[in-house]
Amino acid sequence: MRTSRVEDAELAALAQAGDREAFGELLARHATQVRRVCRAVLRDPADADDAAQDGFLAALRNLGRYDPARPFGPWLMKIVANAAIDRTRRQKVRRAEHLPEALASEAAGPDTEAERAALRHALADALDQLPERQRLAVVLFDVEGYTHREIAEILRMPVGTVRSEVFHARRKLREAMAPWKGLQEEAQ
Amino acid sequence: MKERSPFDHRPDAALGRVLREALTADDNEAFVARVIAAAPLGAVESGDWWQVLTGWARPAMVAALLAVTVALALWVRGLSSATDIAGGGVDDPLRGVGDPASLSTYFASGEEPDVDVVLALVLDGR
Repeated sequence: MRTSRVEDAELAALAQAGDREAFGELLARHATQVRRVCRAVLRDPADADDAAQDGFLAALRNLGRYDPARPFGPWLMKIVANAAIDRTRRQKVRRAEHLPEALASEAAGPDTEAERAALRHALADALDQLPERQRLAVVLFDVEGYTHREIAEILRMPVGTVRSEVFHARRKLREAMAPWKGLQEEAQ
Repeated sequence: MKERSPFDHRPDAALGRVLREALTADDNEAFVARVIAAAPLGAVESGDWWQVLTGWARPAMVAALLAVTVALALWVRGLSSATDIAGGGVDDPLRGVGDPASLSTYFASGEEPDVDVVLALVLDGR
């Protein structure tokens, strides 16, 4: 396995030439982020992973268009976000069905672990209520650490709109998380 | 958590942590293996570049060998034709008249003078 010193751009060039290990290394570096972003868009984990795979394969097909002078992450994320949004469009019915009853009973549990699980699920529910762009904007900004400008490029929207989307998403998520405020402070 | 301005450039660490926890998937290795299996990659593995180059070198070496053989054949052929020219490829006019010792001997022989023979004797300085 190559060391992390090898740049993404170099790995991308090797992957484009058909180097399986280079593609694997790129995947390993970005899989966590990519899967998280897909899960922000698609609630069902299997759908999210399918979208993540679609995104990676689309990126592989389009590596020739990647400009190695620019960071690989935002370029990949743009493709992945599109793949996730495309899949959402195709699977809206399946998404609407998702809200496991088991989660409600977990939330009612007295122990902290159950409460944490309930918080995660409440958050996931709150994310689900957000418009797609807000979900992506807040996850890319607060979880993945992209700048407003990078997110604007990824989501093809003005920087001011990104700021506004992040703000509204945060407000709604904080409202959803309010009942677990004590738990969050405890975790800090 | 405090409400922030929409123009706040800083990520919200607390929200980010909770979101990360809610969205992060496990079994990354299985996912990576699955995507690689689905990827339309060539048969080239890392470190196989020498094998690829060796594969290319074989036909290239055959082609080079053929080119050298053809060049050698042409060169040998050219050399032999040059030898033909140097070794009397053109008829020597003096042979036909018994190679006379001098111009006066040739005229004294009583034969009808041939321009080529006379010229050859003059050039030969006889």
